[in-house]
Parts: sequence; structure tokens; C-alpha cells
Amino acid sequence: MQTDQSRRRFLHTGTGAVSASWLAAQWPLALEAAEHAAEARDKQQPLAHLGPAEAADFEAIAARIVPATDTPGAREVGVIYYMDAAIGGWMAGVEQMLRPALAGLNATVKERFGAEHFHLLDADAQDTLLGEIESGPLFQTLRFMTICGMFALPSYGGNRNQLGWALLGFDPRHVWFPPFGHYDAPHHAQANAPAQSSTDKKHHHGR
Amino acid sequence: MAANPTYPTREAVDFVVIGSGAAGGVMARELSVAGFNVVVLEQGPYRKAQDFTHDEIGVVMQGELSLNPNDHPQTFRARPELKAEVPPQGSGLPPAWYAAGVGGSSVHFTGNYWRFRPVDFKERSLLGEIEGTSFADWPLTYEELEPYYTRVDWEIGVSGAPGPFDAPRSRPYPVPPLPIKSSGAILERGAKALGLHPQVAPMAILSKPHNGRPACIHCGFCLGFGCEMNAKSSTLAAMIPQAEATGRCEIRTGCTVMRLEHDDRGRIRDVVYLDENGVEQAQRTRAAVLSANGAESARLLLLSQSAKHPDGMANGSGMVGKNLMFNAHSATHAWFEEPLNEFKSVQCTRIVMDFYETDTKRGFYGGGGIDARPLVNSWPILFAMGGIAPGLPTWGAEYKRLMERYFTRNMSVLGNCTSLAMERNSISLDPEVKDVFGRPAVRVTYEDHPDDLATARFMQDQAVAILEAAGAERLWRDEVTPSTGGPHLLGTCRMGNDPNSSVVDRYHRAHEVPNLFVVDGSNFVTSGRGQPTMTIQALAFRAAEHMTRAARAGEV
Repeated sequence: MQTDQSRRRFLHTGTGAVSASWLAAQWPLALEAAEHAAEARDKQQPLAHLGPAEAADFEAIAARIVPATDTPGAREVGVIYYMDAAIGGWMAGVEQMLRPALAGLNATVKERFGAEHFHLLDADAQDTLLGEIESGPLFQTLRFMTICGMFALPSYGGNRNQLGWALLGFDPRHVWFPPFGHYDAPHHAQANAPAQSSTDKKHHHGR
Repeated sequence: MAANPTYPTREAVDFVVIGSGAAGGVMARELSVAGFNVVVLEQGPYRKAQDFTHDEIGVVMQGELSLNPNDHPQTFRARPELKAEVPPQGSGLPPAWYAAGVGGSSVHFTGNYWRFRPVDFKERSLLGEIEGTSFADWPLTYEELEPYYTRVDWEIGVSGAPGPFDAPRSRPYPVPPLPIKSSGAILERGAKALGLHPQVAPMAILSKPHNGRPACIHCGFCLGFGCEMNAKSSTLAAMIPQAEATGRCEIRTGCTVMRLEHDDRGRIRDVVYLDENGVEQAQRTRAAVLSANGAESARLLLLSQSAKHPDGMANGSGMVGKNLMFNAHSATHAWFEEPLNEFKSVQCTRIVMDFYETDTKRGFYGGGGIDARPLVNSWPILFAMGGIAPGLPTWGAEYKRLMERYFTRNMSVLGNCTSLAMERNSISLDPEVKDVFGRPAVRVTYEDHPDDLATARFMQDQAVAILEAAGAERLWRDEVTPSTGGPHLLGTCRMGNDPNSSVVDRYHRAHEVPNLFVVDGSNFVTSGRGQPTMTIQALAFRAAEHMTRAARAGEV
């Protein structure tokens, strides 16, 4: 059971920014698109839906949302392949918002920095621009897609080699045994303690 | 395994059961085992354990276990004088949230199985009238329902151990408690430090093999997901196979009921539905059992208007759809120093029931239970979307560092609370919006009683105190705001002795239609303390026993 805020979070941040069609009309096709994306990711093949320049820009934005640090970031886990599959599949239609919004961002890039594309800027300039648009639909939608590309099942095209899950400490195995975490461990230690040896004291089994 | 029967639609079966969820699954099993011919009409598909996944995009984002909201829109408004609107796309779950498919919402539930206490059934007598509400006693007592709670424990399958405040039980739990998780251990430590009495959370998930079903393997995907092991005690796992094994129960999936039709004597004769190909069919029946949930059962009665029932079937009282109760809730979130790894195992392992009863010294009606759980922050995508404490970065290197540290170190504490029944809160037919089949959409009108919100905030204060006493590194509250929906769909076909103020009698028979029974959360007179499913099922076992006796005596 969830509270209202959790309910709003259940699909996304509730800003209304993600105006994608949540239910792909052709769900099997969406899965097929994801399969192709996973294959493309593994074989470094070209993208199916995004052009090279816009893909470079989307990937650059994703790489500022989850940057590479001492662990891999959005670029390294193949988030762009997830984005490509989502745009061709379960979020089909979202590109009608993304493409004009990216064109608007690149107009600002040209005006302020004289560059043709967002992905050509240095990280500081990218962060400055993203900070200005972080509450808008372009950024919020790309943040959502970046997170899905980091942490969804690898079969959706991202989360290469489960690197996204590894970063969180999430292990997708299906079977676990206690202890589960630090705070429950003592309870299980008590439960699993060996029974007192029968030689320690005399028992009287009266009948 | 007996062959599944195929009943002709033009020959009357003994019972048509509408819905196969927490209540419908019990009804299907009980009535077919008793020797009756049963047709179950289920609008969703027949998914089995092997069809369930851990796919956050499919289950959470796409809502693949629920109806498609584009085909089945619902509208919401806070008060009757407002115009109800379809919530904007992407604003979250539908107002009346339920899973569609064999097993209904028991497939995706969390499995908190709390019995009511004796006080729940007679609070109105103990506390007096509450102005502006339909606050009333139940037409039955805990003592009457106890044997059926015990049947739920043993036949559905509940893991647990008694707590210090529990109502009396005639048999112990069939299987021991599930192993404690870190969230449970933390709740226990904090509660004990405050002098409270934490206890084992009773869960409808098997800790040991029982009734031919396996034990939980602690995969961590219960809330909102279907169980791949049949260890979660859904009716899909615990009841439906036994109904089908009789050879007398036919389950028809992809069937959407359009209306109930009565004969000249006012008795239900046909259940009219669209089959999986969209073709209208009418199943003739000797009696109908409506177990579609507190939203859909009410809608179906309202859709079944006739000259004899101008305001909807069995609605002479005007109470069909009224008195909707969602259970108020509050949530508090916390981060700890060491890993909890809440992505493993079930949601809840410990609860605190010290604040269950209404305490007039608080100045408002209500009470509830507290549980510790990961909520949605044990799922990678949902945690990354919204699991970072307010005011901290939501993108960039620091955001990433917070995710790397706190995915394994977070937990939540929920307050599960009462809702007061009020006629202004309702399920009704939307005058404009239609579903894909042309039926008026479910319209939800809901505004919590001020005491409901006061109770939720009071419970949150207790949760904060517990988490502080347990040594949380950081904690924050979800602000308690008025409900805009929920999965607990209660009160809309109230049971009672007076036909003027209730829809069904104390044995679930509609006051105005002798062969129509309504059995689901809609029958609740009061809301209980936030975990209704076990009581829905105890009522269903009891209803089936009385229906069986009546049918054999020719009294249906």
C-alpha cells in the first residue's frame, strides 16, 4: 500500500513532464525493438531510430545525469541503446516532444557558446545549461529514460552487463537466505546458535 | 485433474461468480467444492506463476497487471459539487487501483494479513455517533467471524505468530513467521526503546511449504508484482486450482460483465457480458455472486438499471457506491549507516499495534498499525526516480554517489489507518467519460474526513519517534495530503440489518434481490486499520457457507 506521494512516484516524478504514450499499442513490437537494441549494444551496431547527431546530444545529457566517476556512468552502460529502443517501442511518440526541445537547446548552445551541438561543449558548460532547464520536459524525460537505461532489465537495451545494478548494490538473483542485511544478522545468529550440549546439564525425563 | 467444464450459456448454472480476486477466488472454490456448477467471469487474462516477471518497466511503468487506463479511464473529484476529471497522464495510478486477471489484486498485493479486533465491529456503540458520517456497528461480531479468519490462515496460507494485542484465535498459525529483515529489526529496536510492543507481521506468504505450495525464496518482488513461486497466497495460487480440480468450475477470462438482468419476479436470470472476442453473451444462472471489488461491483449494480430498479440494481436505499473508504496512510523514509539490503525478501516482517484503538484523549477518531518495509525503494528504477532525500541533488556526480550509498541503506515506515464512512465519498457513473466498451467510467468522489488525516499524521509522529530511537542517519516525511485514490476499495455495498441504510444483509444477500449476493470489500461497514484483505476473505468463507446451506434448502 502506498501513500499518495508514493502513488505519484509510482510511474514517475509527477511533474507531468513525461507526456509519452505509456502503453505502446504494439507491446510485442516494443519487446522486439528492445531485443534489437540489446543486440546492437552488445555488438556496437548503429542505432535504429536516432540519428547520429541527436544520439550524441542525448547521450551527452545522460552522461551528465549519471556521469562516469570511479564507476561507469550512463554512457558506459549503454543508456543510448535503451533510449533508441524506447523511442522505437514503449515510449513511441515521445520524440515529437524531444526533437523540437533538443533543437531549442541547440539554438541556445549556438547563441551562447557558438557551437553547433550540445555534445560539443565541455562538461561545465553542459551542466550550466542543464541546470537552467532541469525542471522542463526535455530534461525530465531524458532523466527518466537515463534511469530506465541504467537500471531496467538489460534486455531493454541498457544496463550493459548489469553494470547499472552493480553500481547500486542490487543483485538480481531470485533466491536469498537470511541474514539479509546488517541489522537483522544478530537475530539470525541467535536463531541459528547451536543448541546447548546435552552434556552441560542433566535432564530428567520423568514419565 | 478433472477436465474443465464448458457450460452452455442458455442453460442455468447454479452460480455465476463475477470476479476471481481475493473474494471471488474463495467463492469459486467454496461453491464448486460444495457441489455446485459455477461459471467465473473474469475481465483480465489467466496469468500463471511462470508468466510473472521482475520487469519494472512492464509491471510498474506499463502497469501490465492492471487494465489499460486508455481503454478504462476513471475520473476523480474531491467533492460532489465539483466536476470529476480524468487525472492527467503520468500522474500515477488510477483512482481505484486494482489488478485485472485471475486472482485479481491478490496477485499483486503485499500480503499484510491482520485480523480485525473485536472492537472494529462495535466501535459505534462504544464511541457514539460521529457527526456527518455513516459510522455504524457491523451486523456481526468478531466471535462470529473468528472461525473464518482461521480458515483464511490455514486454507489461504498465512505465516505468523501471535502478538500481545491480538484478538483471540482458535488455532495457531499454520506456518511460522517469515525471517526478520533489517527494516523489521530496526522497527523492533526503535519501538522497544520507546516502551512499545513490536510483533511479528502476519503475512499471506508461505515461510514453509503448505497445502502443496512451496515456501518463499525471498526474491524481493512482492508489492505490485506477481509471485513466480506460488508462495504468495493469492487466490490464483491457493484457491483457483482447487476450484478447477472439482470439474464443476469454468473460468472464462477476457469477459467483461455489462449488466445483470432480472426476470418478472425480480430475480437475477442472466449475466450479460462481452466475451473475449467482444461478442455479447448472456449466461443464465440460478444466482449471481458479485465479487468484482468495491469500485466495479458498485458500478455494475448502477449499470444494471431497470424499470424495477430505476437507480440501479438493489439500490432502493441509495447506498450503492456510497461510503467509499480507502484507508488513510502516512509514510516516513529513513537512511541508516549500514546496509539493510531491503531488495531481498518480503515487504514487512515486524509491525507495531500499540496505536490500534481510538483514544479519545487524542481528540479525534481513529487508529492504525505501523509497519516497516522498503515500499518502492527496493526497486532500482523507482529508487533512482524518487528515493533520494528531499533537497539533495537529483542528477550529477553527487546524485550518483547518493544512489551508490543509499540504495542498500533505505527503509520506510508506514502508518496504516482508519477511514470514516461518509455518503459524500463514492463510486458513481461518470456522466460523460466512457470506457472502451461504451460503459460510463468509474467516477471516484473522495475527500478524507479531518479525523482520518489527523490519525495519519499522528501515526507518522509515532513512526518518526521510532526511527529516531532506532538511530536513523536521516529521515523525512511524505507530507500527509488528502487521498486521490488507493487500492483498498471498501464500503460501497454496505452490509446491514436495515434495508434503508445498507445494500446487503449480514449474509451478503441483496435486500431487494433474493438471488444476488455481493461479496467483496464493498461490504465493509468500517474500514479497519489499513489491511482489509484478510477480512474480505473471512467474510467470503462465511458467505459461501451460508449460501451453500440456503441453496441446498431451496432458499436462494
